[in-house]
Amino acid sequence: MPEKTEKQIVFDKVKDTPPLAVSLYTMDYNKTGSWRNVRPVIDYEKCTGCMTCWKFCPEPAIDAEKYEEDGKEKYKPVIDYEYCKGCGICWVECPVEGAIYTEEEGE
Amino acid sequence: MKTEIVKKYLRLDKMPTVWCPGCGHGIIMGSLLRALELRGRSKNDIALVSGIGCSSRTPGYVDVHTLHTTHGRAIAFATGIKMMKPDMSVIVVMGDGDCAAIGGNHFIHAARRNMDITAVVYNNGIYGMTGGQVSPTTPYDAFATTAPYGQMEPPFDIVELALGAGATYVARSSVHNVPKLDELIVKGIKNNGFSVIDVITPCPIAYGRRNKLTADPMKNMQWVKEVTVPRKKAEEMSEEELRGKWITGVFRDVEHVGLVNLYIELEEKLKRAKENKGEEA
Amino acid sequence: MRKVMIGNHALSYGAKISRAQVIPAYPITPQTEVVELLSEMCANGEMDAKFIKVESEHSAMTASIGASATGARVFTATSAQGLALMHEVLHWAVGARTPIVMGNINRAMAPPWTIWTEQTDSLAQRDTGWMQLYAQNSQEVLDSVIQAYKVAEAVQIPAMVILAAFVLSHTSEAVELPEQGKVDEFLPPYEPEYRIDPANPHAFGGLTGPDGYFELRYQIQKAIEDALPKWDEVGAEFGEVFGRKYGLIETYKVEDAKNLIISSATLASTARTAVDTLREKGEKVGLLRIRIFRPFPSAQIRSILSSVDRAVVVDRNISFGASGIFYQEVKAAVYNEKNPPPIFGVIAGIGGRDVTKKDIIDIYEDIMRMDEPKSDIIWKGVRL
Repeated sequence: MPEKTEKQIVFDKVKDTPPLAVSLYTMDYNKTGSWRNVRPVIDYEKCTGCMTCWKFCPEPAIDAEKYEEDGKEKYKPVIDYEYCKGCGICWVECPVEGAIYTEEEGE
Repeated sequence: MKTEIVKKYLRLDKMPTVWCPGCGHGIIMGSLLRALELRGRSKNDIALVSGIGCSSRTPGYVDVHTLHTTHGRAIAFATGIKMMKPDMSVIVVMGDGDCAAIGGNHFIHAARRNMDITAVVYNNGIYGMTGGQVSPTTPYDAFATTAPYGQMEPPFDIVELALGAGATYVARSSVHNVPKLDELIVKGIKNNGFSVIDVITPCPIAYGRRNKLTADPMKNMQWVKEVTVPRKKAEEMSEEELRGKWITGVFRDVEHVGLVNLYIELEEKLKRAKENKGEEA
Repeated sequence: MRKVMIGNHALSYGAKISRAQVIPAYPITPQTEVVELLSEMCANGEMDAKFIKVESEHSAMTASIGASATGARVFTATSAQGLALMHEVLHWAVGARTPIVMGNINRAMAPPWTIWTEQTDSLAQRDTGWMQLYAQNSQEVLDSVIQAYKVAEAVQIPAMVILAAFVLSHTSEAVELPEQGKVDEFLPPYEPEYRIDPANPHAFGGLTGPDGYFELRYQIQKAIEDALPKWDEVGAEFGEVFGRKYGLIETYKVEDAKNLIISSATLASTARTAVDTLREKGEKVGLLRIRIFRPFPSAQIRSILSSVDRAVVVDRNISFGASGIFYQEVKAAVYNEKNPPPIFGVIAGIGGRDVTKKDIIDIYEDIMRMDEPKSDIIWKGVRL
């Protein structure tokens, strides 16, 4: 994943502009999290770490965080609320009852 | 019958044709004229559209409404004619390059829409008029000016293309089997939908000369006979034996509603709705 | 080494000697010989290049842009209808700054169907940004392909080398083939700054709003303006290395000329013989041949016209609703001068109708009898 710059670049003058239309920076300044009405929340007590939500997330706004347990390498899903659009696919696809639930945004 | 057709459907002041000796295009044109005669429609109700190439010289010689359009776009022009004049018989003649290379997009869309157009493809596996460059139907290992050491790209099968795109009448014949060709073109025109008749025809000067057939018309006709296999016989042959051969026959002949009729239905529906609304008011 | 070849083959040899690496092309009369020879040379290993038999001219140009974007040196060729079909992507090639060199055989536009020469097809593309070079003989064609690559790659703007159909494309002439080693030194390999490179990924051609587009377009105009002196520089350098010098324009007997005939391409060749005959009759006439049409050499033209009493532009093209195109541009170039000479515009040779030495002499004598240009078009050769 490229480094987050989180700044919107505007080519100020001709001399700053590249000779052709080529994108030189990321779009990560565009915080699509602001599009949400409903936010998904993971209940880590119930989460089995199957990572189905991570596979489905279209954004992707779910990170796979590595951690160690009993000497084994494991992953858990972590929702990146800066970019999560609140589409609800992770909530629908999660195979475990109640591992992901939804809240109204702003609560 | 033949003499009447010559007088009735040909622009005699434009004859003789400029096609090379031994070219099959004249045979296909003759077949087309007989089909038009059998169809029995007034010349005024027939439109013949072509693209660019030796095949596309045909409309110049035929005395119906004719259009000689840009390369690959004959079907697009024909679609416009058909939509405005749904009662006309619209026939398109194109070469293999005109149809499957530059005109490929129009071909598949006309098939998808089931436009009531009859496409007769003069398939000689070469770009004849411009001197013999490779076309999308040039057989494997055949020689052309842009394939001086043999064509290494696989060729299109125009029949498969038409079937895949949804044409409702798909057939192939050759200039060697003229009675069959007559029959197929008649059926194609009769079909109320997109009809494709792929006709294998020789090009002695551009193709024959470069591919060991010489420019001898008889040798080229013999080649056409050898390279075409009827469906029934092909079923008994192995894949190896069929390599480089074109299977002839009818591949699909179904009835399906086309865009023209769907539009007519829509117009009538809207007209009725308008009248009903008028009555209510 | 000298070799007899047709104009079309001069284009092919130009591409070969410039080490073009990708050639996507579609046949169209009268360009077919260009691509057939290239196809042969690619197939037998004489050229280390890939020949792509594309399905239409639109694909020829789009494939060219794609290949050029990876950093390859690309050549293609077309004519009339094919060039028109490419129109959308001609704009793209300029915006994407891909220095493609394309041979265009000037052929009149349809309908009616024709294969004979006229310049309207390439001139109709003058607004796309492609540089345009009008050649008058096969030697110039071959030499210009090499120079075109050098200028195009320096300013990152594509260029067309333009020949007249049949008159030049199919006429055999003896051409000196430059030595490959010298050409390699003159024309180094193409190394663009931005290219499709997995090691250094970029996204090209993205959506740009009003806040970004203007600067990009300014740069294109600036680049093409930078090409003006470059054509003269490269042409002079070519003269030093290969013994044949070229420039933006070519002048013939203009030093003491009072009247000027302005033309381009093969018409200029004919006009040159007319100038000789007129000189013998005592006329103080000279010839100005415009070789590079885009970028338009306004300054050079102003300089030559500053010392003449009148000029006649012979156009083998027409911009419907206006006038001949070289005429329009020449007029515009001198409009703001203090005392611009009257400029007469003649349209001749449309659709390949022959323009002979006698025709040009008649044109000259006709305009010499006129006080001033009464209209923007003087028709020559059309049977009214």
